[in-house]
Amino acid sequence: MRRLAFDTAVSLHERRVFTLAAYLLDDRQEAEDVTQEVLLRLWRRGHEVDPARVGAWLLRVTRNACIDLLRRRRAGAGLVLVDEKTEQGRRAPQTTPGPEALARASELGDRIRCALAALSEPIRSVVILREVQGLSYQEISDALEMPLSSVRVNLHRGRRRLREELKEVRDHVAAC
Amino acid sequence: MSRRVDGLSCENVLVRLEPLIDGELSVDEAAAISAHIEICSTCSEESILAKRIRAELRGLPELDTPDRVLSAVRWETGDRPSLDRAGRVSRLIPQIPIRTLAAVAAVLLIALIGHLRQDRAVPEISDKEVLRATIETKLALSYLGEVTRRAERQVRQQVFIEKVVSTAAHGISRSLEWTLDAGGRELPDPVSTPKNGEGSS
Repeated sequence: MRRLAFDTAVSLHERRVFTLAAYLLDDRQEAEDVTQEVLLRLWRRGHEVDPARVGAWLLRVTRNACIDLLRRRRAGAGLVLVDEKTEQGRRAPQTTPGPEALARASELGDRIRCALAALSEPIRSVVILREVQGLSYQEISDALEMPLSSVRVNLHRGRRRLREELKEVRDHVAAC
Repeated sequence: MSRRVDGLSCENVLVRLEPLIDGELSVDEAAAISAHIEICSTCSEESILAKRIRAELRGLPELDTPDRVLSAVRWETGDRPSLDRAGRVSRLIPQIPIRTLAAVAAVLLIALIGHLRQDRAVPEISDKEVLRATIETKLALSYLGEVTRRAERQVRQQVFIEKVVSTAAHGISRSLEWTLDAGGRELPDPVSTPKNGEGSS
C-alpha cells in the first residue's frame, strides 16, 4: 500500500479500530496488540482493498481478529463466544479491567457494560458498532458483511437482552 | 405483559419500542405507541430503561489509540525516524524514500539530456541557453549527489542501529537477566554470597 494512502487510512480509522477491539475484548493490552496487527495487515494487503471501503475492511478484520483471540482465551476464561444459533454461551468472569475503567462508575453503567460483555456474537459487535461507535445500519452492514435486515434483527435482539439483563435495576432507573 | 391498553397489546408495543426511539415508525404508528406508553406503566418503565441503556452506551468514550501502537506500526512499515548527530530521534528531516528520489533524479536527468540533444540539433545556440543548460546540469548533478549522500547516511544509521545499538541492548538485557530474577528482584551475587554455614553468626 502506498505510504500516503496508508497514513491517511490510519489517521481516519485507527480510533475506531482500537475502540472496537477494546470493547469487544474488554482488555486494553490485547486491544493494542490487535490494533497493531490489523494496521500492519492493512499495510501488507492494502492494495487488495477498495479505497472506498477501507473503513469497513478495517472493522471487519478487527472483529475477526478479536473473535480469534477470544476463542483462544475462552478455554481458560469461559467467555461467551458461541454462535447465536446454538444459544449455549456461558458468561465469563471479568478477568481484566478494560474500557470500563474509563467509563462512568454508575451502578447502571457497570451493569450495562457487564451485560454488553455477556452478549453473544454477532449481536455484541452490532450493538457496539451502533450504540457505542454510532455507525449507521449501512456502515455496520458493510463492516460485518451482513444484510441490513440481519443488522436490524441483531440490534433488536441485543437491545432486548440488555433490557432483560437490567430489569432488576429498573426500580433504580425509574427513581432517577 | 400480554394485556391490552388502548387497543394495543404490550407485546406489540415492546417490539416497536426501539424503532420508536430510533424514529423509524410512521407518524401515526409512533403516536399510537407513545399514547400506549403514557398510560401503561409496564411499557413506560421499559421505555425509560431502553432510553437509559442507550444513553449509557452512547456515553461510553471512543478510545485513543496509544502512541506506542502507532509508533510501532510506523516503525514496522518502514517509516523510521532518523537519528541526529547526538543520536536522538529526529523527524525534522522529511523522510523521502530513496527510490522516489532516485526516480525523480533519473527523470530529471533524462529530460535534461533530451533537452540538450534538442539544443544540439539547433544550429545556433544562444549564450543564454548555454548558461541555462549549464545551470540545469549543475542542479541535476548536485541533486544526484544529495540523493547519494542521503542514501549513504541512512545506510550508516541502519548499520549503526543494527550492529551497535542492538548488540549493546542485547548485552545489557543479558546482564540484567543474570542479576534479576523473574520477578525483577535482584539476585545475590554468587561471588559474595556466603555458603551454608558461613557468616551465619
